[in-house]
Amino acid sequence: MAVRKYKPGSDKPYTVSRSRVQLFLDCKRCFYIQNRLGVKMPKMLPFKLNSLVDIKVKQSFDFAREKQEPHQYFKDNKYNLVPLKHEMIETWRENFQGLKYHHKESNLILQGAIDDCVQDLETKECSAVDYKSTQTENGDKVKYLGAPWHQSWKNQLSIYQYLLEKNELKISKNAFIVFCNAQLDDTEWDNKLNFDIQVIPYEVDIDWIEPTLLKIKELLETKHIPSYSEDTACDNCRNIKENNSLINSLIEKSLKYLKTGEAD
Amino acid sequence: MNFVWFDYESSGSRVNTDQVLEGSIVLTDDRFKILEKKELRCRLKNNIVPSIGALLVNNISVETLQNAPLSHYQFVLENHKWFENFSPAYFTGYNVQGFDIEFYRRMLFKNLLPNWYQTNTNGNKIHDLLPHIRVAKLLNRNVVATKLNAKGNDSFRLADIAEINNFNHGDAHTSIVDCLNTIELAKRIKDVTPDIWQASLTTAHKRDTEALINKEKVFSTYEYFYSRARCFVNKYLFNHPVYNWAICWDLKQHPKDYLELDYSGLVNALQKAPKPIRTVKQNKNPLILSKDYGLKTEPYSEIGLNEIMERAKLLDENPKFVNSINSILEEQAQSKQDFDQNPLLHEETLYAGGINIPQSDKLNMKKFHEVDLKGKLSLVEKFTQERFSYFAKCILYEEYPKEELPETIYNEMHRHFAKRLTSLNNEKWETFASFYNELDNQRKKFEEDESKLQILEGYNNYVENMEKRFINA
Repeated sequence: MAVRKYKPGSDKPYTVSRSRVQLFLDCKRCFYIQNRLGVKMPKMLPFKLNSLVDIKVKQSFDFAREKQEPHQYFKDNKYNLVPLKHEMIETWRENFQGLKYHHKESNLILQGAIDDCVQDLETKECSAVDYKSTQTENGDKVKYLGAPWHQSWKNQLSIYQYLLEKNELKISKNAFIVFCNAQLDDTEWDNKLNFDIQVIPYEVDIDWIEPTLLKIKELLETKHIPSYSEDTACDNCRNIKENNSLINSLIEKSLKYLKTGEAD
Repeated sequence: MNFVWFDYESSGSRVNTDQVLEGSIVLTDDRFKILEKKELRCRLKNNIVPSIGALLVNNISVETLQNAPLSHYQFVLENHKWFENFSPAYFTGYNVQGFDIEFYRRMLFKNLLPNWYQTNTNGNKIHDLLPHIRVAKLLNRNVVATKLNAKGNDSFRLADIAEINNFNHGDAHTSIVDCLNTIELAKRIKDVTPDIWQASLTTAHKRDTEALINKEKVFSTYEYFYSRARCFVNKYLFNHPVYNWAICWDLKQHPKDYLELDYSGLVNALQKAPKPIRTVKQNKNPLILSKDYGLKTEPYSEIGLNEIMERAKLLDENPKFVNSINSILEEQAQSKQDFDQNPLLHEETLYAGGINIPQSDKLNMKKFHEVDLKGKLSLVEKFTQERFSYFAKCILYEEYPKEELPETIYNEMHRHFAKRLTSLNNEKWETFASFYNELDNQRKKFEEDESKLQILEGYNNYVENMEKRFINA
């Protein structure tokens, strides 16, 4: 399936979402295939239950925004931060719209839709908020954001904070994850899920973003597709590589059979 | 990934038979921001004679030995819990490969916590700053100031580095200060020699190191001996047939000088210095850099890239020669293993006992920590391996008063340790005799220092009281 792709040498700014930036960081080859060759990556199954939790949390933040008081989750964690009231907030929270910034040096438009934004009413500093919902037995240690896959969460928050700043908001050094962990217990199912909620601060690092945009631009301009990742870090690459090697060996065997009549 | 910085202060340096007394664990993110800090202290076990040398370095008082908040067993459980909470992470520190990791594994092993490879499994990796600061200093003198020792070599003692660089975290040789000083040092390496820092992280797990070696084939490594870090440009040959280490050829030696030798000639030639065979232990966080680094240093710079690659090619073209090296190393390892046939203490069988623990033993270990004394006693004889029953009895003996234990178990263990501690031989553990011998030496050393003599007297009284409990067992 074709998707929008970059045209080398074009003067028209090219939009990269924060998830595409993450794809670039994870696998240059896959990024190139998608953004330069226009081949869409395999789709993930929609996580409808997770999305529903996001919607419910969003709604509850909207109530707090209306009253301009900290959301209960933030109160519980002693953060005196209220959901931001801003004329653009709805756009910034909307998928495929979101926050945008045209980075002129690379001529790329960086884009990302936040779940929410909270503000310290005294300092006016703003922090991006992202909701994450899941079920894990190790919920307590998520607050350390130490697992390898947490790096993409950190990058996400850093990009949001960068975008907020570029959209002329005063930003805090911290952004937040609202982590909703469904509880598993032995009681009889009563059609409800209970969640343990953590508000996890992360001190963002935005220094890497602009150099990364320049690297992305450089890659988009190149004519050569990056090689398969050397390790097995990219599932797509590994899958394609193994499939290709299987197909190649079958072709070789078929050719051999056609030439010699011998089959393995 | 986050970093878990940790350091132990112990009753002595024998990893199998000494015990930890103090430990600190500091969790930071990858930018060294401290997320958690834990300091743990425990009492000296009733069956361990401390080394005076270790206590004088640690400055651990008799009061702490007797009244620290945790027993040793509680310390281990607490430590294990925090490491689990902080996983996955790089488990790192200063000389952790040589000491703290080995100590920790044995803490888990002897206290029936079966995941004694906790720090290098389930996404965890082991990183050690000591070898990397040595190389960083070799490649960039400005990375950190060092004191020079009597022979004019850089001192890499953490206390010396902290002092001369004004790290200002407090007195060295307390575990928390050593952790904070190590973090400070890591910041320097990362800031001044980012390439070394990055390379140090890429070999923090055996699997990653193997992948890197297989990819590079010809690369620079560093070894530290005779108080200096030295660079080698190596060609990977094969994994050691017994120990599985990466066996490499040092390309400053031309293979053609060895190719024509017969088998016994090759055996002799391989043993002569400078040895052409270099070993890279994949699980010891070796620093592996591209060959370009080594090609900037003598004699590789004089040999030049083309000649280096020619030599590597020559090795590839002579598989029979490489196989001969493999056979020689295998024979040498076998004869060494035949030679090392002394019986081992249970405490020494962490590696010798194999990595597979029977599932039933694992389950019983888990239960052991959950049940009361009666439950624990019922599990003692259920372990299929004798060493685990032994460790269970050790824990009971160390954790419970005599009155609460069955007489048979108490007497068996009390006599066992009495025999050990009252031995007059040179043993693998500290005995009363070795303690008093060391005490005499220290008294002579500090005869002018009244405060030190008082401290020594305190240790003496402590051990004398301990001895009374064992002398007539």
